[in-house]
Amino acid sequence: MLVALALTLWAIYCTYDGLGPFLIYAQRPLIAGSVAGLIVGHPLLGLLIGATLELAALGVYTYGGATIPDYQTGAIVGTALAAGAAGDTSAQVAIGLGVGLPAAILLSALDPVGKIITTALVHRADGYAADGNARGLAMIHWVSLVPWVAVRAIPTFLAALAASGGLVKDITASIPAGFVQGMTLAGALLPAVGFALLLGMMELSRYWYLLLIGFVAFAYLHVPLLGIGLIGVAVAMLFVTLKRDEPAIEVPGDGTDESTVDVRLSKQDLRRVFRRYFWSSQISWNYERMQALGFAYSMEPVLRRLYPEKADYVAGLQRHLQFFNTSVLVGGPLILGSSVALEEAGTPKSAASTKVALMGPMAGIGDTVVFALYNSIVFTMGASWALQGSWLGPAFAAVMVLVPYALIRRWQFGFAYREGKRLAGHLAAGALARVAQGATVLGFVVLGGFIPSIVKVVTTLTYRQTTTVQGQPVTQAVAIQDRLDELVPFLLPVLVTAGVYLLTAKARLRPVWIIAIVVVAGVILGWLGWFAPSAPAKG
Amino acid sequence: MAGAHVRIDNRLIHGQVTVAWTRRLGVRRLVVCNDDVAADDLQRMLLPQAARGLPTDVLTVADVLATEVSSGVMILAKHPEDAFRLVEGGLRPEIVNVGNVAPRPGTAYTMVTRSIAVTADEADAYRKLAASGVPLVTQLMPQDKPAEFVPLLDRKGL
Repeated sequence: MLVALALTLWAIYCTYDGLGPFLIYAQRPLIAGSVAGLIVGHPLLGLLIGATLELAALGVYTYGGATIPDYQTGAIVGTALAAGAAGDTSAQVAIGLGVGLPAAILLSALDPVGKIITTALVHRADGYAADGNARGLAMIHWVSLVPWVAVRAIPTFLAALAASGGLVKDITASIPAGFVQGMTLAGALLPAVGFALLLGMMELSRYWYLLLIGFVAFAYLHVPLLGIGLIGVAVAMLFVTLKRDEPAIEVPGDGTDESTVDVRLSKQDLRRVFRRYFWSSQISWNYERMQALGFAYSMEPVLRRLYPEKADYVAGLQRHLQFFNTSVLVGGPLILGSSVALEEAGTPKSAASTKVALMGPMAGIGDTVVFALYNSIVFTMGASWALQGSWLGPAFAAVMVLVPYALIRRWQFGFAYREGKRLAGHLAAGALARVAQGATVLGFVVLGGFIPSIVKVVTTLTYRQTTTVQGQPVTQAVAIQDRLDELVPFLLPVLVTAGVYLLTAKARLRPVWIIAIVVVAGVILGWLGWFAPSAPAKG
Repeated sequence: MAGAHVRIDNRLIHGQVTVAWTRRLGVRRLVVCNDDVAADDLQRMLLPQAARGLPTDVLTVADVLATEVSSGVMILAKHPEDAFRLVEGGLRPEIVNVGNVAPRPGTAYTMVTRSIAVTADEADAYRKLAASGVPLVTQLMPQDKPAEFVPLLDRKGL
């Protein structure tokens, strides 16, 4: 019971972290699962289950608003059940994945429920804004977190409670060894799904050759992942620098002189705005206005300072309660800073129009850099270490999220506030496009190394070969895998990833079906003993 | 020759478009169509940067009608009326897909789907558009099943 409560609290924090502060990205399965493992007293299980789900999930964290499998709950619940299961670690992990994956997929059906409830709440916020009631607005904003949390915390609690009973042990004791073998193979194949989905989001036809750099570095030169990352950084810098001579676009000024803006906001006002955004930007996300309430709530201290007249204050709240959605880590703080600057400059109209102008492009660029590239690289490295049972994995991912994202958010906000109207000029000079391109190049190089190092599959099949030794025919079994390795190292992982990519990109199957296909194929082939994650020890 | 794919989407170029749709449709060129956006320097400069390397034009409705629109072009209409004006002006798109239509301040709207707000006037205009023979559907993501839009309006009593 105590464990179930602790897991539920953890699930609540994970959900909040992924909507507000993004301190350690606790809603990603690597983090959610690792800590769940600690809570249930089986740290290794949490690491292995979290890391496997993380790699399967890679390509699904793409753009805001889409309902994706609830891998957070899958990782926590899977770990809890695995800890209560009978058998050795590989059997427990097989059970954890067998439960966690379907749970993640099924529970995603609850996600819209939470979002619909928050949609109803935002209308209440409209009423409070019209009255100039900041307290009511804030209350609705924070209450909106409840439905988001509930649809994840309640299933977690129920499953954790079930896991603590002896029933799980009884059921799992009768699971055949072949299934465990098969599920282990399926787990080793699942990263191919993540990588394929990720490739599907990237410009493969334009940059495919960059994959070769990472592949050769790993498969032939045995460079570790971190080293491949460094190669990727160098190649990315090369691309970005070579393109720099493109002429910057001239930004026409609109005649207003910014030096005349009298500073009416104190440092404390600015800190309050940023703090509100940092800790709660998306907690009231809903279908109709998306992040609007979070933005209005963040702007409120500034509006209160700037507009002593109630009518102006109300108009300000309503102005910032309009539809808003962007990437909250890269983009959001920039837009917030520019909105504050333009409100202070006495140009509320351009505050509103700049917001609208920036939110779309910043969502496109920010999501690409944050989700598709930076997070994918950091969490893939973290997960690969976690799969070896190392705590360095989740710790590395958490730190690489915590520090850079906190700094870059603070910087964006300050920069946009200081630059005010000139911000547009900096952005328009192509800086954003360059950052996105550099990140894409890095992503491809690194993926080229990730695929052979993390997707693990070898064939255990052999054939009989008769050779003549000193005039005597000798028949011996030859492992097919040895022949394949002579041809091209890591051929099977590459073929599996390519096959899954074709299923997503050409056959256009939904990710859920692809996961199902890979798991079923993995279980069957592993059960039959034709394929395995790694070569059996030579005896 | 097939006409353009018109998507009504107030968020213009964002993840759903760049990641999912352009690839599914094999889009070679994006055209953002809205008079206000085309008149706004900031948006005209920023939007192409969000398009992940796809050639992108930001044009007024009149400009779109004046240019030759071929297949492989995806037109992003910011508001429903941009799409209505395009069709009234003689554009024959292959399909009009209602994607994201966020409610606008000061209007009396009904949410037809989770992401589409429709006013009474717009409902009439949507019907007129469908009656002119242009396929009118809503399909948020390529994996979703396209749904005929007019029956959805009927269901909501619009």
